[in-house]
Amino acid sequence: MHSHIDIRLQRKREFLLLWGQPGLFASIIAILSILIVFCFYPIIRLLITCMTDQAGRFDLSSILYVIQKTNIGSALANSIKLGVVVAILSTVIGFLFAFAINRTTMRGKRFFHVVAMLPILSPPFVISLAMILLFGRSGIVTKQLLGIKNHNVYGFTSLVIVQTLAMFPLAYLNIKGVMESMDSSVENAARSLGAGRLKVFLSITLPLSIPAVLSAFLIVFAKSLSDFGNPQVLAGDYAVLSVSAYTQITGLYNIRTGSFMAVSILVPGMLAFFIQKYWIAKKSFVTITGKPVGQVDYIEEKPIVYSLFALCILLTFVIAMFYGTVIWVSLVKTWGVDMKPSLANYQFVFRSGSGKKSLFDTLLLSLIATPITAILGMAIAFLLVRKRFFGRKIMEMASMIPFAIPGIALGIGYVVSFNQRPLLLTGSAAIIVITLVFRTLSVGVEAGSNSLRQVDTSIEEASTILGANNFITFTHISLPIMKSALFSGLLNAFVRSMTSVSAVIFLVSVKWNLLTVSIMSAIESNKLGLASAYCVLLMGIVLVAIVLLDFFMNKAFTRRRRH
Amino acid sequence: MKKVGLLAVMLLSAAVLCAQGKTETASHARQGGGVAQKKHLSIYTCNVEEEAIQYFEEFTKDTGIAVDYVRLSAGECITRMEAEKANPQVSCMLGGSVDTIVSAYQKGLIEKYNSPMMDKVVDQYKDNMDGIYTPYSLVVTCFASNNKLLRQLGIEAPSSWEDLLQPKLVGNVCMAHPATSGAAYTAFSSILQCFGEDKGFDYLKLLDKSIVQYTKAGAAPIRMAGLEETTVAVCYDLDAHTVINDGYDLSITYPDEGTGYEISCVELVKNGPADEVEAAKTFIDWMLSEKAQRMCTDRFYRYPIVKGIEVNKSMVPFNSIKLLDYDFIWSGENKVRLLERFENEVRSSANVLKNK
Amino acid sequence: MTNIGVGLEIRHVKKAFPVYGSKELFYAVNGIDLSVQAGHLVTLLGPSGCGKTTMLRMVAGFEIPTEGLIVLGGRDVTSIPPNKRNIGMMFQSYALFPHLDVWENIAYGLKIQHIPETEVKKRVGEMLDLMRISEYANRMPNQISGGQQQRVALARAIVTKPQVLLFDEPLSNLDAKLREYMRDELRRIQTEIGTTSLYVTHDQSEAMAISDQVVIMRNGQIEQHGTNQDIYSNPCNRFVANFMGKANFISISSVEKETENRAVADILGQRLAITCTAGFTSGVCLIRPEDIHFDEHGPFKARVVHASYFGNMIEYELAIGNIHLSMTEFGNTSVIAPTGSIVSLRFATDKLRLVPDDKER
Repeated sequence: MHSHIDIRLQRKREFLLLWGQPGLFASIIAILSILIVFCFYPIIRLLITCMTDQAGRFDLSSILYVIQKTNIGSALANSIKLGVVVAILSTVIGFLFAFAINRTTMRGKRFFHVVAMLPILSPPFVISLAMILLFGRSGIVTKQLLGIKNHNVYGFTSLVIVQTLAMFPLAYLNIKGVMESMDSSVENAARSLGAGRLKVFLSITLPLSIPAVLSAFLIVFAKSLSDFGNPQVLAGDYAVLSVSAYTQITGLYNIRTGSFMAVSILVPGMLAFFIQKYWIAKKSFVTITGKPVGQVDYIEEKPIVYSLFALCILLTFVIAMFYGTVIWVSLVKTWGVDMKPSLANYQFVFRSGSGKKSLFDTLLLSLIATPITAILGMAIAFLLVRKRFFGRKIMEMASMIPFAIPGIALGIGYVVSFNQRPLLLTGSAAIIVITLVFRTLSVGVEAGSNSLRQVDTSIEEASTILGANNFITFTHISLPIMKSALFSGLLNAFVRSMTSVSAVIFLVSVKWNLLTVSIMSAIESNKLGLASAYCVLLMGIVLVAIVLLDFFMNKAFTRRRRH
Repeated sequence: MKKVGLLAVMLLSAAVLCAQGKTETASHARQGGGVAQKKHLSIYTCNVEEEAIQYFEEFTKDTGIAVDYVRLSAGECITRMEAEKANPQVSCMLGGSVDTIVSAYQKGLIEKYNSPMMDKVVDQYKDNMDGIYTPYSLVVTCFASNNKLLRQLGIEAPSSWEDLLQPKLVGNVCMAHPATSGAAYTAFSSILQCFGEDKGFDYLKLLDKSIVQYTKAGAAPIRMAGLEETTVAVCYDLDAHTVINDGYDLSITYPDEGTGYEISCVELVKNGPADEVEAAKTFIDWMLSEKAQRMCTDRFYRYPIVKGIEVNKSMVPFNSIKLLDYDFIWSGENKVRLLERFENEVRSSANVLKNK
Repeated sequence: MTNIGVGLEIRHVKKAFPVYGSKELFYAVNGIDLSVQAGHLVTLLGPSGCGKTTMLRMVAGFEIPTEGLIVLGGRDVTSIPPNKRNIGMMFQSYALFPHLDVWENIAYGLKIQHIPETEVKKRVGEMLDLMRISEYANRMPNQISGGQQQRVALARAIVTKPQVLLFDEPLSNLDAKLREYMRDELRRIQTEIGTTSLYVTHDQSEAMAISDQVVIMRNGQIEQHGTNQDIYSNPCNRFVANFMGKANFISISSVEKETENRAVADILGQRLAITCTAGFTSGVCLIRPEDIHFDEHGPFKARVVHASYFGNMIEYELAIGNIHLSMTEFGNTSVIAPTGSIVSLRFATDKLRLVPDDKER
């Protein structure tokens, strides 16, 4: 009868309740505002730039030019095709890896776990270069092993291989987190009802993993769309949008057309995002109920274990081949000419003041950005999954945007937006940190949301009713339960920070330089050995980081290890 | 409440980092005159990092002015300056070709400066359009050929544009895409200026068959020649010399019909930090000093632009190369139109075939 | 340990949810008034979807009432967040923190209240003793049995001495035997600490065993509220009678009121006296299975359809014509009437009740 009045009272009470939790209220407002400032605003500024002329008057000629005169249509189609293929392959491989490590008695799990994370740390360009050295015209594999002449390594296939190799770890970490927190009693139940392994997999494990699989797909898809480093080296005649945009910007000095092309990548990215959200919204997948049950029933059947093992070995071999090539290149003076082992490249890094400085700056800025990204990512995941509030959708979308657009557009957007008072940030370390944070945020948010979705709300409610406020519940209960997601969030944030190029290229300043910019410079001057040496150093740092992180996470969250 | 605390800590640390940036920029009073000058200079450079560092170190030794720099590709430098236009971060840019700088000037990114050292420049290159740029060296478009592959093919290193069309070189020539690489654009424009625009395009259509790949990066073709991915690379002699110096067995030749070149410049950035303007001018002057000019050629294989500086012994004497009367202005002004033509007439046929 | 809680009052509470794709509202709870005396345990009993869990969650503070007030110990807590209400709660899934061991699970609430370390140790120790789970203190939740997990959950809920305890079907995950045992344990401990409690279940035997008062809910409203005897013997309608215990309903005709609470009516061809609630003259006749007895002289002839033997009793399914009745025989369990045989029955006098029919509701 008076339904509108009822609802108004309820709204008022909901607001009062929120108001009564000032911490939560302030967090929501704070997070929403920083997301709007650092995720929406730069893109809007960029679009405004695309739609105005030099003097700042409204002018659509740049956009019309892009639509009529450039190859935007085919480049977009190519990008999407590449993205879909890479996303499918990465998700499948990531899933199989996660499954093998999580659900079977396969040997060498910890080893494969580390192997699967290695490619995350591939700095751009280098894997592509290794691809050329291995499979190019005078490639080690193509020419020297197989004797194939004039093998054309440039194009779609190579791109798929390299991107899949570089991006399946994202899928792997995402899916692994969810599989770990999936209550295996459901699977056991199905087993005891007489279902075979395949049946259990198809009817239980796979459907329960769907949110993770979808979000892994989405992440890889968006990543592939916005990737610039690999296509720049390997695409050949296969035009993709990020490279076309870059060409417009740096080849034709046209910020407007280039930015517009770059921003248009958001269309398929966001589309995929909404489709995924729609799917997940329709299903509920709670499996950690706080009523813990037993052990994982590990798969022991030899055919399954051995075929998964073979797959892992194969992938390990491929990864080793690529990384081995990079290491090899770094250890000879001049590839192809002087193949004697030498430490000259490493000596150069440590001799040159700028090399050391950029190594230090990179490490420092990444170390600052990493915890902020991870904690912010988990906090956003917590709010998105657990709280209802105005602006939830905005928060969700905003966290995705900086990830989904090519770095160069984000970088330009940031410079245009934060180069004037009151938001004068250019030239500071802060803007680099901020870029690093927001560029990688969405991986953490996705991982966190997925793992939180697997946890029964009542665990958090139990904490709340015992008197814990949202902050304590988040830090003492949700975070530890999201441990695996937090780990992958931290790791990914760190690695991406250490290796991101295109976004920061416009933001590094005379005071703060990053290692990847030095790598770019080394590659441009054809110092392959030097570039590889930088990369090997980066990988070394990241590996150490993984080990330390693993150690501390275990210390912080579990008093004794379950096996 | 503690969550607020955490956020506060995060924001605070962000603020501290910002503040650091602000104190840097706050001192940049924008309205020039009478600003106390610092012994400090911020530079964007598109020269190779190794090279740039050495100039800066020597410059600091000579003048006591400290240099901080960011190394980017030329296009990235210009884009960044355009994006930062409202509040430029640097006062000087080292590197960039004339056409690049002219277009940057038209966008209002460059401040004119007439260096007193311009008197010493070879007469032919003295015109710097009333100070838009200050030239400091020349680099010339050349062919770099892999000697091993040449022997395998049984041919001599190409010595003319015409040579590139020979059947044995089909799929054995590499140049960067003129839209993505400044070096490749110079080569492209040289061809058009050498043959005349329409004939030039006819030539390019034929050349397209020889080309194995139009790489995105300007440095890639020479790398491919070194790694035996291609026999001939069309590139700047400076890059070729560097790679040869690393130990690759390549030979450098120049086309008989005439070749293009780039005048490498150093520029004053418009509205850069006001307290660095004098330092920037000092640096521009310094680049024309005898010491800097010697470094240019002795260490980095550039042709010096100041009168009376001896060219690096390992380089071909400058007067033995047939240079075109390269028109930078035409080249710059027609860039978009020419590239569109290139895409439509030369590349489209290739694309249709390859995408089938 | 005794800690007599405070009274809980629920005043005209409604809770509406928007219906997806429509402007209509769905009232999960539609006008509930209830007051729970300090120290009492009141059960909300009803079928799933009746709004009992929503009601409980509103008391906890996880849901906000659309209308009405929730008053705890005289204080309006309607807009107070759950962590400031001083309530203990047991969840259907126990919601034990999987990353904390038993001791830490129990100590969690105390630590949040910044209780001194020694006091925490003392109180957790007491709890472990009270629950008889001291030897599991260092185990992780997935290393103990369901019943033990249950005790941990209860210990965790009461260790903070909450004003009110809420139970959300806490026993539904246990097997039958353990459920009965835990039910008695729960009641023992609740009486011992004397905390005001609200208990939600759909299991009437659980409700009867544990409660001081039972509230029968349906469609977001209270059907009947009273002690369990009261509700069992004086159900206000057919729904309540059916939900609280087993019941046979027989249609009746020619009801003639004799006094306020008494009438006579035609029941299965006999004119019998029937107890009725004031005001009601139509409905059906309720007779509980235990009020039907074998009697050679009984007026009703019935066919035995099925008999189930339980040791202490026998359950029969009988048919009089096409009307099926269920009957329990506690007395003579040595002889089982064979299926298909014809028996004579009588209904215990004073046990026939006229209850309003509510099929349409």
